[in-house]
Amino acid sequence: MSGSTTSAVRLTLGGLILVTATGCGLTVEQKAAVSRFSRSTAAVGETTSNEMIRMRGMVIQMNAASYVIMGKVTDPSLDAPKLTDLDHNFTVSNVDTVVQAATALQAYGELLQALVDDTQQKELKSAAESFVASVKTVPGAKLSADQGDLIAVAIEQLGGLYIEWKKKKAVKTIVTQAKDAVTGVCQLLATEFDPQQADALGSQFQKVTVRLQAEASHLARSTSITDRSVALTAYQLSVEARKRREEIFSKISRAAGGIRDTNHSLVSALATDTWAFEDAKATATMIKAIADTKLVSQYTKELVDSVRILK
Amino acid sequence: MADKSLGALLSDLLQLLADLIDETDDAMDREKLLALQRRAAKPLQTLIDEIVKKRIEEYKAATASLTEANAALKAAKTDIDQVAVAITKAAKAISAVAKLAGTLA
Repeated sequence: MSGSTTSAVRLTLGGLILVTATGCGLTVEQKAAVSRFSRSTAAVGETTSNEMIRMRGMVIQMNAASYVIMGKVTDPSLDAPKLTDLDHNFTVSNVDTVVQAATALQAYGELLQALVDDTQQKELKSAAESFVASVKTVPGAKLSADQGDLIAVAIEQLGGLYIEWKKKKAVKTIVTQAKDAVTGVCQLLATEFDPQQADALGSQFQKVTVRLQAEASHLARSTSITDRSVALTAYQLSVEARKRREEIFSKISRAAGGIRDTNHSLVSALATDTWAFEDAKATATMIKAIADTKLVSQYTKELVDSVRILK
Repeated sequence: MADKSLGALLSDLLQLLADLIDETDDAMDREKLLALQRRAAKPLQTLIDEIVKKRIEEYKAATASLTEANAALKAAKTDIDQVAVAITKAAKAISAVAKLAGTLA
């Protein structure tokens, strides 16, 4: 048992030292790229979800207004709303699918940010202190308070380096694997909300708006005050929807396109090794700082020796 | 500039017709424009119905891939959380050995 514990301690320390020699964390630039990406996805995820729900409401309202004006149209060659299908294509299921895509994109940005941001400093400090406290109970391990503190700092710092190395490895793998999915969702949203393109739900919204505009515009010239009253309310609704499509939608479309481009930059930043020199410098500085305090060479050796006594 | 799709051209046509109805004072002309609008909108609706069906499937596929990526991010986070746990476990192991040594002494 004592032998295996010694090996475990050796492995732990050896592993941590190996990480300092080989491991490089994400650079400041890479972390900034993740932050930019995360901020963008949060904004678009929330706005898109809200807008899709609002669009569904407006489509139902506009189709209802068109139905009031047109009545029941039986000619199958003509386009007209159906009383039983006022949310045509903007069904709860379809809207939910788009909202889920936007939400997944937002969650992706947030989880990526959380992975990069979490340094685990508090947990590492507590674990390192616990480690030193245990070592102090080992017979023969005569550690002064200062020596104990220095070992705790070393374990904390090496643990931090190990975490940074693991983070980089995970982020590089996941971001590369998710590249096509992120591009896909962004492209779908960018096209969906682009007022210049006729595509899917965005196009359906436009078609419903234009129909109401045409129907209401014609009825607004009626001699009947009731007709004009109905027509003006309907026309106002179509103007509001058109403005929304031209102003808000185009912003969402541009933002989704922006995320797609930011994601490409992030993938490129992670794929290239331009940061290797910087990381190597940071690692060298860290190793030098540890070597200066003679922690690895002196106290860690003492620690291992102390445990070896139990063999 | 890329050529516009049939759907985009039909959408533009419908918007032009609606704007023309706005501008036309003659009731008969408006009637004709409106009839044209109702007729032209029908093939566009058929086209949109097909595109929506296709796009919804694309959304679902992309969302499934993103959900997998999110699960991988959560797993990586949990894995990293284990570092401090591993150090604490090592501390407990040493403590146990120390207790054993004390008993043997």
